[in-house]
Amino acid sequence: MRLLLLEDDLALQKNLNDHLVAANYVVDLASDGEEGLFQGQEYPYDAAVIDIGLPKLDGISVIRLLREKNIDFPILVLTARGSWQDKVAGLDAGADDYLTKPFQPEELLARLNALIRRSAGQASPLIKNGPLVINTKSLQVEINNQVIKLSSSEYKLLEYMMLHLDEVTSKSVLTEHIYDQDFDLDSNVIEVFIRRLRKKLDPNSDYNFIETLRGQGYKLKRLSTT
Amino acid sequence: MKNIFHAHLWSMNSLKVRLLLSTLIMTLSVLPIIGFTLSNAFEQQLNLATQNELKAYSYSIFTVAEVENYQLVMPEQLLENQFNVSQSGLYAVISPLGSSKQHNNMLLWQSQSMLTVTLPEYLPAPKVGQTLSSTIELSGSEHILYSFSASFSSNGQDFPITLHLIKSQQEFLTALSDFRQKLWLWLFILMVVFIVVQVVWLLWTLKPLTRLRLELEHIEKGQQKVLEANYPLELMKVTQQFNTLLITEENQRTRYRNALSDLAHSLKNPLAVIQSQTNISDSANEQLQRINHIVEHQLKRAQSAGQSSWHLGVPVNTVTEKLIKTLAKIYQDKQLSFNVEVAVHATFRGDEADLMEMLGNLLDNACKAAVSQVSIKAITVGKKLTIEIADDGQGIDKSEQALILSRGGRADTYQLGHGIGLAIVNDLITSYQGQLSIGKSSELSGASFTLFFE
Repeated sequence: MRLLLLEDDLALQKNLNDHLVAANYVVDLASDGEEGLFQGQEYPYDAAVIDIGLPKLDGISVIRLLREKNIDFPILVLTARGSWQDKVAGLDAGADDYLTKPFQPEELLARLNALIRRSAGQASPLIKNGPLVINTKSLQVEINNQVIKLSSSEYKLLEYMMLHLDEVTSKSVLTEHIYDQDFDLDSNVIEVFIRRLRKKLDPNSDYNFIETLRGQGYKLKRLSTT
Repeated sequence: MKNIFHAHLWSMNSLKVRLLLSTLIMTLSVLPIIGFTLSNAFEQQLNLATQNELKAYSYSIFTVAEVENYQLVMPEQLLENQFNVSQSGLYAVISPLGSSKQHNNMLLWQSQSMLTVTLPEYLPAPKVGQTLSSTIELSGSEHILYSFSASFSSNGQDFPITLHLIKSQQEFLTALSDFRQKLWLWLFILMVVFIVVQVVWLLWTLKPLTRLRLELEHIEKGQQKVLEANYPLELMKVTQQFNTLLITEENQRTRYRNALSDLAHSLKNPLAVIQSQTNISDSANEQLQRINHIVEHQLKRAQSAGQSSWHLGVPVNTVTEKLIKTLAKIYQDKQLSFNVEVAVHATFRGDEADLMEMLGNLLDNACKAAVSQVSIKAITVGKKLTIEIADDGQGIDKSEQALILSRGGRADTYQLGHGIGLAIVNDLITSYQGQLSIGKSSELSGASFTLFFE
């Protein structure tokens, strides 16, 4: 999952970035409102964490401008003020949740996780697809109740596809959601990860979860729950 | 302060009553005095005219009177016809001037109009060359008697006589009564016109004050921020200064709030940095939480406007609408149903941020505790505002209710961090001299928080 973290306090930005990267997120950083707005318009993020008090353009305006441009990824607002007037203003501008500073990093991760799931129409941290179950909270993957060990990149790819079942996703979109903006988009590394996922999740090709659509991308098929 | 603009409009403290009363007193006292003065002046004038008329008659009679051989000789008919017609109301009698009072059987001459009229026994006898005026009763009605004495000379001897002219007062009284009737009628009409004009003038003059009172009521209810109407020059200075005061107070409060928010921001970012570090110990973390709670609590207390902001009135429904919209988004996963019954006229006499803080915290708690339903009701009875927030959660035990109300107290049924929210709610309610009661919701069976404000 690729996130935009818009925070002007560089020490806090660094700490949050460490926590988010450790939680398997790909994080793009911005430290003022204008930069954040530009990145938010340019890249297809899965969610954004935006501080209200920002230089150049305040967080509320960034959220309002993003929503005006029909950019609908979930947004979590960070606010130091913590008054209900600020919370109402943030959510009214288009944010989806708020967190008052200071906060426990675990609280931020839980809220983000819930927001991303909710935006994909999933209420629970457990996402099921036939025999395949992933826990977006513990980052654990099971197939037929057997835990499967995946690398960080493999998990990111699988989680994205599980949140977008039956959707055809191009290699470039997958790359954008798994790697940060400096990654070389021409790389065929996605093909390698798909091959590895097929091998680990479905070694005998019993389910054929991942379908390749030539020239278009990949699709994780929705299977009936057994 | 609040009651100033609701003062009894009809007490002596009211300008309108004072002005109306002074107008009435002036009208009811001045106009009758004018009436009496005019009536008296007219009566005197009428009296004088009658005297002059009788004087003129006396001259005309003396002109035709002659004394020959010590005998008074009078023509049969007088020039003024009323003296010749019986009981005409105008009579003339001549008596010899001897003693101070003359007996009526010693008359020298009487006009033909006197034929059937009986004179009083005695008639006045002024000295020669003098006149006397009095009233006498003839045939049962009042008459004016004008007596004038003169002395004729006959064969070298004085022949003094007194001419008595008697005129009925009927004509005089009728004229006077007519005049008085018309005078009082017109004075009454004048009084009514005067009072009506005064009342209209008064209402017109006091209209800006009525408008000012209404505008102040609107400001008090939060329906407008400053005085907007055009006021007369005499009031303009006051209204301009009042507006300046309102704007300055508002700006000061905003500045104060922003300064505190900046302070919060600059304190909380370092706290967030420390808290986001991975190697932080549990005890350090606990202390950080305490610092955070203290900062949060004290800042919110300082930011509260309290009852000092008398002129702000906030419609409760606009605040609850915003909060419900926000909370529905935050608690999307719980699929809560919100039952909102807020009376349109329910108004909180205080600051919007404070109301939002109180209701935000209580509704947030209710959403956390609720299984599927949250309700908010608000009504205003007279000046009393009651707001009830309830949920269908497991409710709060009586033993825990007191704990919740104490500063920073937190019941186990609620999630972490709620103690500070409720303590802030409690502080805000106290600053508005309101009351908070916690109980069990009869409708939803969960907890119910009720706020009362006077």
